[in-house]
Amino acid sequence: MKDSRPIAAASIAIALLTLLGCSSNLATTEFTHPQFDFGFVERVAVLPLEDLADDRQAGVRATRVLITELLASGAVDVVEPGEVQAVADRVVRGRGVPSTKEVIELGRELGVQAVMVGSVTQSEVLRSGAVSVPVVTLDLHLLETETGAAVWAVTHTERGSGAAAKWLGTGAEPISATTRKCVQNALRSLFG
Amino acid sequence: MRAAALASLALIAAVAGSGATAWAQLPSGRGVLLPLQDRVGEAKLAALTETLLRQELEARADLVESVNVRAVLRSMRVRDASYESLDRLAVLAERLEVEWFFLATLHEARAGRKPQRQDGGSTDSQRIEDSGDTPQVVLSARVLRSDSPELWWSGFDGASGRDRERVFGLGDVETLGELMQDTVKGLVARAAEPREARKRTRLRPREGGYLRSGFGPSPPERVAVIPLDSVASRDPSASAEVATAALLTTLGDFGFNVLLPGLVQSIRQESGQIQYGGASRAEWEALAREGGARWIATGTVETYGRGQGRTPDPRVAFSLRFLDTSDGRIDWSNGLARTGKDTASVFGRGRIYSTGALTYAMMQSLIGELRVESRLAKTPRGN
Repeated sequence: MKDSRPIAAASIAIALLTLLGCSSNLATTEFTHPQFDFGFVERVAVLPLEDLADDRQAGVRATRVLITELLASGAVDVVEPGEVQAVADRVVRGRGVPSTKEVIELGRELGVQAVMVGSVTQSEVLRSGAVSVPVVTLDLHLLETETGAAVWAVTHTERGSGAAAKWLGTGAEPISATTRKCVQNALRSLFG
Repeated sequence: MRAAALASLALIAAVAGSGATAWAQLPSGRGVLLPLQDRVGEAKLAALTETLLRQELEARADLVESVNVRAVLRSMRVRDASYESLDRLAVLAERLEVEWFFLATLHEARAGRKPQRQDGGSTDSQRIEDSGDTPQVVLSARVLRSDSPELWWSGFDGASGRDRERVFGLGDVETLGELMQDTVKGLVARAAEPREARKRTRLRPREGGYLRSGFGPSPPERVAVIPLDSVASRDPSASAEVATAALLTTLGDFGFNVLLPGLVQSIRQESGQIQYGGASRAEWEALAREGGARWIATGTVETYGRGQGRTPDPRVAFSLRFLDTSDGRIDWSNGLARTGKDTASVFGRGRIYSTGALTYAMMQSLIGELRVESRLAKTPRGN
């Protein structure tokens, strides 16, 4: 009688690889300034993230989630978004990314040591047959407000539950859940 | 070790304490039921709801006839008295010769598939969205006094026909009319009678919160609620309104004094710097100075809707934050993401079928968590 164990093991391995393949994320690209002392940053302002995706709510959604996650990290204090918007309207005047001079001015007006800026480059639900996979890509930059230089940057792509969730009968997760995961994973390199 | 034990005891005491408050709700004197704020757009259902509210209120309070109410509201150009300033409420009270107002908003109404008419059509209008096999209603109400800057009472209910389901589907409510009757009855009863605080579904936050050390809001401090914003992919303004109504009610449930939404709006407008989705310095300073608010509560609805399937589960996610009006800093922030199935125990008991009910349960969990965290944060260390 032939031993069927290698075949079974191979089948399980293929199934696991398929599952992993369906949920894998692109590698995160990140930059951390080697000389900057992050302990100096106590208070951060988050400027509204630019929305470069087709989803009109993507920028606002990611900005809100980013603020909550920064606060939840316990590492920094975050300025109330309404106050940031009021000051940014005056200083940046509706342009997406502030100049070096404007970053310094934002720091002085808001009393922050760093400003978080960035964009949502992708926020969509990809469909393949009956399977829906939400995908979110974020690009974040932390600018210190003494010189306006970038001290940290990250680009991260997150794929939400897709095939596995479908097979288990739970359905695809909402795009906001994928956005939250994307923000959490993007911030991981900042807070560990 | 001892500190951890003390913290656990404080947590248990705080949770137990949250269920012990009793209030006498409806104010004395004459009141008026103002026209229902209908967000569903179904005239027959709105009329039925208003009739049910009137019947229930008349049995419990001195209510004036509503013959001239619409004419007075029209002459004063009042669309929703919730968002009128205190001065305008005083004029309205004088013209209607009342001391208090009862306002209700019908946020959602979804018809069940059963029963079908003989001709095959649904018994409810086509404008009311089909929600699977059970009817659902989300209704909120407020009692305002013209001489008080605070909400007298606020109530919220998200109900589904399966809330009282027993074995073999017994206890189901199958029609929207019947469900509305139950919902209105429950809501007005809570407004009119001294009561024990409602049984709460505890949904422990898992996303991780933030509390500035040594701070944190605690009742009965005065809170100004800035309407939540919404980034939900479907009908964001409706979901923001539902979550704001649930927040107002929950803050009242936990003993906070809540500034009138109309007063908050008029102070924000006068500050000249309204910011969508938050509070600017000019706004929080004005709310502290003119409204006497110690805290500002606001947040963002991230998900509000239903999953897929025959009986789609509600899915809700939102975050809340509290700002200290003395320095404008965010002192507490937390978020929750849940589905109706998350509350279910074995055999599906405790499952939530309505988005409104899930929102309310989540709001109660978050504010409950805030109360516990605030107490722990304010407890002197080393005792």
